[in-house]
Amino acid sequence: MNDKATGASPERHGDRDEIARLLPAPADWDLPRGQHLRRKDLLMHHIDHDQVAPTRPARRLLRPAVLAPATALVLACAVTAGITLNGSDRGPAGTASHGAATDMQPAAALLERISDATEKRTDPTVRDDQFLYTREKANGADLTSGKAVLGPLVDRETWSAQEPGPLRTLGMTREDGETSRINANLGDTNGTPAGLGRPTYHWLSSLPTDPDKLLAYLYANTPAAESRERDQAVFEQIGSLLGGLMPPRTAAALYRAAAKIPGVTPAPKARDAIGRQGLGIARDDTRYGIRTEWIFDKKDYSFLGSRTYLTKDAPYAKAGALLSSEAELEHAVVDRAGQQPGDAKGTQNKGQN
Amino acid sequence: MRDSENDVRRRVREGDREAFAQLYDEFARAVYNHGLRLTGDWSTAEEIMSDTFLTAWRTHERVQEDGGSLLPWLLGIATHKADNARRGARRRQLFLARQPQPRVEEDFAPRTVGRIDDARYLRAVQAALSRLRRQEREVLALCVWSGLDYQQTAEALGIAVGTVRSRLSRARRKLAQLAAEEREPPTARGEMTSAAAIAALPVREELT
Repeated sequence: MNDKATGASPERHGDRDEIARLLPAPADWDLPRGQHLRRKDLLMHHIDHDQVAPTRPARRLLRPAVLAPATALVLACAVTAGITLNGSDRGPAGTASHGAATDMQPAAALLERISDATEKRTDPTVRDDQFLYTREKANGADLTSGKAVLGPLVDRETWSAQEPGPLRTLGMTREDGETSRINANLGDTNGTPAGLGRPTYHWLSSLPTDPDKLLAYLYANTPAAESRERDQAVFEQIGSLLGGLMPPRTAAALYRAAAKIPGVTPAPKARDAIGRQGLGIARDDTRYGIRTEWIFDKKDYSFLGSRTYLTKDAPYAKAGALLSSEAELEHAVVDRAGQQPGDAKGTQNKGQN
Repeated sequence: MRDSENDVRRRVREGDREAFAQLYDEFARAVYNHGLRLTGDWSTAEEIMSDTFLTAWRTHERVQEDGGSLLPWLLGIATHKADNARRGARRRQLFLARQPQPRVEEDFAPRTVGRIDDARYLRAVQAALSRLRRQEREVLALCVWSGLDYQQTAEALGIAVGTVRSRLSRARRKLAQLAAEEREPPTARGEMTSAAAIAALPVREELT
């Protein structure tokens, strides 16, 4: 197209032309001028800031993305950093609160049992230079065409770096044989530190183990999502932390905290991505008709996986349509990204009991 | 042309403020559209664009003194960021599921209708791209849509020119196959590939 720009030798453009015919470039879009100027100001401000005080780490200048996070695998549905304790859509009191609610006793009892069992597990040692390994089966619906199209179940391995400081490479992931680096969360120009958006084992151990304090922390720090009720956002935030190797005391506290979120109910028929049935815990996002379920093993109460599906018809799919599901297969601590647990110390197998 | 490009390179490498302002004015739109084509999401594209220039600033010392336009460098950075964003798509589906659905029947101004078609096509393209491997998608977006030549594409991705060729060739074969599948009568997979069908057909004519 513009070979003159580089003076490169003539090329055979057969593939290029044919692709351009098969899949023409989408039309160009542009940001409103105001947005462009605002972004440019951010850049110039950043440059000026660095030049004035080159030794100080640059502040994070970007507005946090108003969309789910750019990093797979950290799973956090990070949205904006603002904190709002907005009211839930419905509910007896009209406003959300994280005090104990009496209408979810069965879920609370179930989570208490899960919590008790979890607390008794052994706490592995995880060094900062090691990686947490997770193997799972997962699938998700693709909505980009305007209709939900359920993708195939893929095998996914993840290695999460445990260094506490800001990292530009958070780890590695292998999905159906394709390996890729996990970059810092979008907007974290100077790297993503351990935290809700990148929960390392040590960071998780630093969370309060008192369920009320933990819940208060989560309500205060879960990124606000305009599209979601606060209670739902916190429930999903907890869900996003599950699924990896976790300090038993933290896990136990998270389950007890979840039991205190209004609207959390048992889901007796819950199954994970590979059909394992277990003890289910669910919460409905009533505004959008989306139910999120967590599934725990009936015998040892370990977290098996999760599932999200529509509970009412939407323009892109009918009620009952699966939006995403996951099944945890294996967790371990390994020394290098890419290393299979096999002979590594601290391997914990799941799904084999 | 080449001299002035190398002059910009030198100034960018030195961390010249005005050179970055100029770089932004010249290429922000190209970077934005590259991010948009790879992710299909406007606000993600905006973040990618903004983040790309901040990363460019942070890594300006690594720019080579000579080598022509800096667009391949910027698009290379943006490609990495788009990959990141795309891999977050699993969670993003839940976000998308909660977005108000656009009402197509609203507002019949001809310009708006054109944009709705553009948006629909952009979504269809995402579905077709999802049938390619990441490496193929990236080469396609850089070399076919952003107009980089093979050498510049190789430079943007830090790979050999021969690799660009082979990836492009694989992408072509897969897309041709998708288009062929679509011409067959609907099967159980019809739903899966309908988006690819839109992408494979000469939609361009409808859009203009």
